[in-house]
Amino acid sequence: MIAVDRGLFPSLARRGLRFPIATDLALHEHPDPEHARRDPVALGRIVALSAQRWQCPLAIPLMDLRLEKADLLNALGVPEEQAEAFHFNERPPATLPPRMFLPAHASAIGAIRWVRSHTSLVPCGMALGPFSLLTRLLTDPITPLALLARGLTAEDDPAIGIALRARQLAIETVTRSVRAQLEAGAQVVIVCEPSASIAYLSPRQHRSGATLFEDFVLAPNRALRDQIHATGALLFFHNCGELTEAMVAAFAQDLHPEVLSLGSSRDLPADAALIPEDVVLYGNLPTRRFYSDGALPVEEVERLTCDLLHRMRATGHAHIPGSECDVLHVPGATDTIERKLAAFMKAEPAA
Amino acid sequence: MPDLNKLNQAILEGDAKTAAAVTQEALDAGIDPSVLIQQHMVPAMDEVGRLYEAEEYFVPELLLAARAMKASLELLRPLLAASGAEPTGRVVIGTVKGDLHDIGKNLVGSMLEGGGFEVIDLGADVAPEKFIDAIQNRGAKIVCLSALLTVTMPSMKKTIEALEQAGVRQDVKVLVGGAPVTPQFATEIGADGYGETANAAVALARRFVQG
Repeated sequence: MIAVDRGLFPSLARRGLRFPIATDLALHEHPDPEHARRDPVALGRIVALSAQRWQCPLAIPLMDLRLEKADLLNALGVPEEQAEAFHFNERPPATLPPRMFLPAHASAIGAIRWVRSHTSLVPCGMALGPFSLLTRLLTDPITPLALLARGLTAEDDPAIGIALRARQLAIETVTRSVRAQLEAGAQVVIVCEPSASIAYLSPRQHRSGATLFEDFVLAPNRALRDQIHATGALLFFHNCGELTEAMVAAFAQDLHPEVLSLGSSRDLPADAALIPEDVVLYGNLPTRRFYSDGALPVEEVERLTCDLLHRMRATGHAHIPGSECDVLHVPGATDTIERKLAAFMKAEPAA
Repeated sequence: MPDLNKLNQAILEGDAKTAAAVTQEALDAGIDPSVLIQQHMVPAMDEVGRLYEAEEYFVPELLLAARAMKASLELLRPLLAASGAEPTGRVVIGTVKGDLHDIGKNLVGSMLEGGGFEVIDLGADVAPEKFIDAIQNRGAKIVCLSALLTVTMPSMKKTIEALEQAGVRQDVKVLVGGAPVTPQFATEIGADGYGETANAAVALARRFVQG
């Protein structure tokens, strides 16, 4: 059994672990992926298969970032099939009634339980971050937050009131999802906050003294971190959005996760200087472009991997090379993607 | 006589209330709506686009500026319609089938409106037939397709193929964009252009209109 403590990820980095987050590829090898997504045993086996394929001791779940939104809306009577397209047009209620998890969510939680009891892998959970969930609940999440940053209130614009209430429900929902995954045995929780980026939160707002980033991103994620740490589990914080250095530094230093996973828009070796020594960096090959040889030939994947390895090693900072986000199954591009993942796994810079 | 520089400034600062107030003052003073648009609002939005390119402005500032522009336009539209004035061009925009992400699409739509285009926004998860309908029945001459996910990018190709099958492809210019989209992909699927940013999309749309 692998000891799960703060030393886990530095130790894995020292041992030269590298892996993509690519459980979706294994899912789509199943004859009925949609059924497997809703079957905890099938999903647990897929997660374990994916871990085995990448020789990774972590049971990385499917990055299904629809689950928390569907759960929240299920509480309000919105059918699961309508959840993705649904947005609040009026202020939602202040609290959510008790409810069962929907099948796909229950399956994700059940898969953690299956991994814990049937494998020696480290069971991992996954949740959409509260801010990213909030942004998925509103037709336009940017404008009300920008108005709020300028000192306007819900009395000035009803959209602000909707956003504030949605934030509250988002925090409640993600907390519930993480709690269930921890109870199922997750020893690492991957929290995905791709929306906490300059697309939604302007550096100008920050410079003008607005506290949006603190109030909507850092504070709720600190609470999640404390919830995760309280059980002895570890936080793997993922953000593949466009970030400023100040945002990266805040995630690393203030949130202080065990792992910080960043997108390919970041220069990881340069970012290493902003990151405390005990925070392991994960990423950040441009895997979103792996589907196309025109966009990214396999030779370029090899070159980028070697360059990243070489430059990260030069920094001395603990690093686990990986994908910039989940590597999704793209119909018709499976071989292309697999070829590039194989190249990523093998590439080694000249000594 | 109202100080029309305040209109530029209100748009630049994303102050919708002031933008609408100055516009109303200008209309009350008998100023031609097209003068307000061409000499003040479009240049203000061009400046917003420039600031965005220079990374002085970010998406929130851009959306607030577009919101201020819209507040003014809402006052001007009835007058423009009554005078028979034509927009710079007519664009239909949407996120392709299977993709529910619409921030980038909204941004491009807002900037196109700011650039004087009439924008038919079909929303997200848009079936090819809806684009065809907008071309055939609403006179759209530019089609903007957005996708955020690699898995939904093939829908862009399918949409372009559907335009061809419907016999309307030659009537329009197709512009594609979104985080995973590349110029190579745009070429591969037979699009006429690729907009890396909202500003680039507006510049391309203007070029299309000018022929």
